[in-house]
Amino acid sequence: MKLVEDLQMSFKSPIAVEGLPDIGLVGTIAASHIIEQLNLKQVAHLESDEFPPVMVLHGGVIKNPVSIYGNDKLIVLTSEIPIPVITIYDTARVITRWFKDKGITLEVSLSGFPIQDRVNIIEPKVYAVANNKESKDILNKKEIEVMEEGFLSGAYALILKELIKYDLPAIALLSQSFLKYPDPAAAAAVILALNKIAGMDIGVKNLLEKGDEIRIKARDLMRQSEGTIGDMLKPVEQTIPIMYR
Amino acid sequence: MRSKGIPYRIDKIINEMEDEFHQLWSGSERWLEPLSEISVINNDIIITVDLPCIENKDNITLNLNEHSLEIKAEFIKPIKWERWGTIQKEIGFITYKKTINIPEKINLMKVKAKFNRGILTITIPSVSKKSNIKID
Repeated sequence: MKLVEDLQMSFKSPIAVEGLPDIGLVGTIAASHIIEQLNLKQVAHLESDEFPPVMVLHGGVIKNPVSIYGNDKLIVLTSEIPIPVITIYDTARVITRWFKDKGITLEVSLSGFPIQDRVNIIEPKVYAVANNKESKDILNKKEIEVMEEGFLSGAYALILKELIKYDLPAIALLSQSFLKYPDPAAAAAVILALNKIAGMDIGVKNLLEKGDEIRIKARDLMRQSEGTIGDMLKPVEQTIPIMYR
Repeated sequence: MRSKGIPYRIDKIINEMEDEFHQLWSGSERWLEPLSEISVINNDIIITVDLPCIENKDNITLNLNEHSLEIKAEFIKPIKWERWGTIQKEIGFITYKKTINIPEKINLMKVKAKFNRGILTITIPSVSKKSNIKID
């Protein structure tokens, strides 16, 4: 796997955000909204022979579906295709090394965790996971509820782990969401939590108003992602760890 | 090395794309297949169907027999996009359509359906008999 830079960007201690396809496509929908709202430019992309042989067409030009967007203060990783489980370790290693090289000060992964009664919840609650004391302190200061025990699976779990190596703080924001249905309201909830953490002001009104349209457009990616969500052993997140302290 | 499941999934994706392609060009009635999920909770079969842009239950028709459930939901006005995937022209859809196979014997008289904020939930009690097992 390799990371190819498409645009020379001079970053100034940026925050990195990851929104790869996962539960309810929460991260992907949120990342896409952030990119659109802040008019971020594509700065790099990931290439791997293990990715599906797919390119995406935008404005009549082919683009790599696993791409990194940004400005001098913010970096956003997202994908328009499911990331095969066998490539997640490589993806996490390559992307975190690049984040470190670009001098990020914090990484925030956006995702969801499925709950059975999601249909009856109007405003999904957001929980957070920290990778070290520094990131846990950030969450406590911003009064975002921290998950204390449990299993994590998927790209965000490995990204959090890899960043421990570089002693960089990382956080996963997980919103209550549907498992297999695109969930724009859950995406809005993680963006609001990200605003709190990063001192940003990304509006979600438009995202919520276009919710139904997004649910239809994201239907195919959601269907394609079902297999990788299963392979990531997501149900393990609902289980209880055996070790007690 | 690719994992064992990937060729199967590529086939599945290609089949879905073909289905979508045929439905787009199969006459005037263009329809979308909604996402759905089926699970068994407390001996009930629970089917949920994601129906964004469907505003109320009166636009949904359910036909159930012992083997399958047919769902049709009509948009109040056609949902239109300027482009759809690689199809570079305006396209509109007027309905959702989906047929779901029922995995076990059911009691048709006790089926319940609820529609809440774009999610249709159908609860089908199973009639599979349970028997007590004596522990020696």
